[in-house]
Amino acid sequence: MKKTGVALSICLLVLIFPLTVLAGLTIEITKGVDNPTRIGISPITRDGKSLPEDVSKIISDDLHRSGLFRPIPKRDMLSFPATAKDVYYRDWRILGAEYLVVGKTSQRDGIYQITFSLLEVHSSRVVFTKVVKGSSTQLRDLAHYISDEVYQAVTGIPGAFSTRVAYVTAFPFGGKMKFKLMVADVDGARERLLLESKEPIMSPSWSPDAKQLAYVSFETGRPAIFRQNLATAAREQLTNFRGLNGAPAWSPDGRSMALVLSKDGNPEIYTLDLQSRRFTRRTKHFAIDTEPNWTPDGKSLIFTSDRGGTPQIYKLTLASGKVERLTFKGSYNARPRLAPDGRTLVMVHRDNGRFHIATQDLVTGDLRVLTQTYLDESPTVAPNGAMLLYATKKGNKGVLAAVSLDAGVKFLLPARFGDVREPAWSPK
Amino acid sequence: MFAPVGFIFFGLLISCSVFAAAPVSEIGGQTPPSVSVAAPQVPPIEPKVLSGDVHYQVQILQDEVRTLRGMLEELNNEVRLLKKRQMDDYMDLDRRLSTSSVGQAGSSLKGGGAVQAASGKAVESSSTGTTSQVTSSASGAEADHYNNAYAQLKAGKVAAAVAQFKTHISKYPTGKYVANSHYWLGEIYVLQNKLELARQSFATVLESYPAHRKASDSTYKLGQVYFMQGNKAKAKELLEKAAAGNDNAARLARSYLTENF
Repeated sequence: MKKTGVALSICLLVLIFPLTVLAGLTIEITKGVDNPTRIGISPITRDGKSLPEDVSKIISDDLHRSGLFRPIPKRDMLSFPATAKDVYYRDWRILGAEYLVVGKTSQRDGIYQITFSLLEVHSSRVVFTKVVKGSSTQLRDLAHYISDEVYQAVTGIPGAFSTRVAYVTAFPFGGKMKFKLMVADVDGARERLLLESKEPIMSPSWSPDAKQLAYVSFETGRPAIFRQNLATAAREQLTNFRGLNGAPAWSPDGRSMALVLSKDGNPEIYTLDLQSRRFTRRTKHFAIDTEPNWTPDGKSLIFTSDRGGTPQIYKLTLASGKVERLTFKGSYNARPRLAPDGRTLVMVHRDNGRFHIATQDLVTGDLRVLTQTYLDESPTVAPNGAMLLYATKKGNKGVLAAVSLDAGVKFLLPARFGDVREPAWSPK
Repeated sequence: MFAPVGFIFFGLLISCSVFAAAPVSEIGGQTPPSVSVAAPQVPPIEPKVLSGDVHYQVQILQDEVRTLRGMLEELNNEVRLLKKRQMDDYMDLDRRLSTSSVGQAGSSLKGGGAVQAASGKAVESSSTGTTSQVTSSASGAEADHYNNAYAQLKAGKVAAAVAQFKTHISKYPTGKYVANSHYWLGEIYVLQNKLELARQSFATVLESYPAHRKASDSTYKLGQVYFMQGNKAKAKELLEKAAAGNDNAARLARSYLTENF
């Protein structure tokens, strides 16, 4: 196994500059649950003065977007309490609120401190009171944190509002296509450009600490895998083999990466030890083996292979090298991802010639098609396992869409311009 | 996603096939000796011509292997599922029978024919209650024969149970377990999806033993069988008749009616 993955540490300053376009992604909720929880979010201010960011609106939007909540519009509110003591529960019962969020802000040396409480309206009870601190640029993070806390207290599932999403946009520029690798908050805000290239960018994949991204870029004239630090923008080329270098996937412990190389003939799965830079070939078959991903325990890989005549999903136990087929329904199942429970397999499933996102319970074998759009691809699961993002088409444009794993909530994230594709939900 | 990758690397796949061709040509190399024994005058085959041929053959074989592998994987899965289903069916039957023997223990304490109405369990349980009650109190060859048949059913030996219940009916045509035997045959046929046979069995209980304790259960079951056979009018008539009572079968019939009509 020849090691040619020369580590190039390039700082491409030309390619990286902060993008000031605000909210390139907007959100349209297309389907919510039948009985969302009514929740009031009383305006969070600093002694009646507004904050640089509308924290309560961010919380309200977060909860609304989850599909499980229906926030009460500010104009309907009868009072704006800031602490649990100020609350007249009757005001909120009239509005049908089941829960209420109140909060007040203080500021010292540029640091904002928000004390917030979640109240249960029917029982006139304080569920919790918590404090969170941050600078003025972190107000959005504070708001997402509050959303996470509220979401978890009400639903019992950890929130995923503080997470981010990486994706690739493609748009025509001077008669040619241009590609951009972007990272944004999961609500589409604070979009940031990581890389711009005239050649395709593919398969972004997060490191488990969410500080780095690996991806495939064709900028050298052929596909090569790079990794890039989000904070410093430092880049490093990890592979430079003849043929295919693709589909990087970071292991849950962050020490190795699964990838596809075709240097020995046809596409095979390899793992790369990021410390020793050693490549280990994991599959050996004349069929195509591709799209590897890790099981949450890091002991196995799931991947797509056509070794059985049609693309299907297989599981490879790394210790034994044993390969086991996981999917049996339909003639096309590909792009596997596992939800954090390690039991729900998410994939692209072809049904009547259309590509949909489907889940399969690995214990019961039940298959569930989640989406009704067509040409759905690249599913990526939220770290809380409640939702997934995928790429689809709306009109002729590539857009991102989200669906809950029970298919109860759906929304689209259409971009202002260009095609959006290959979303990757950050692990934290 | 997958298709383009396959497309791009089709070329590579070919080069791989060349790679894989090596061992096959070795085998080819072993074959000529036996050929040469049969026909020594055959000139040695030109390797160039052969390699093109072998290359093509390897590709065909690879395709064939993939197809066969796919079939094997799918059949393996099918076998796994069937085994699991068989186990589930068995467990289900076993569970039903064991709940019914629990039901019988409780019911024999109360005694009498009022057991069925009192028991909150499924028709099977209440009916077994009666059965085994009779069983426990009865004696003699007739009872032993019936008990034996019932034990076979309980042990999951359905085919043997069917045979024994049938023998019992022909051996003791006027015996006190004939209605029970018909009833159990009906139950088994429903599980085996032999609906017409099930219909006949339950109908026999109703026609020949209208006053038997099994009659109301059989009315309900017969209604169900008609429903499964698609005869909804007849099903409704029987279920309504069963529902008019005040026993467990009546309760089940009522819920079956609300669910399906």
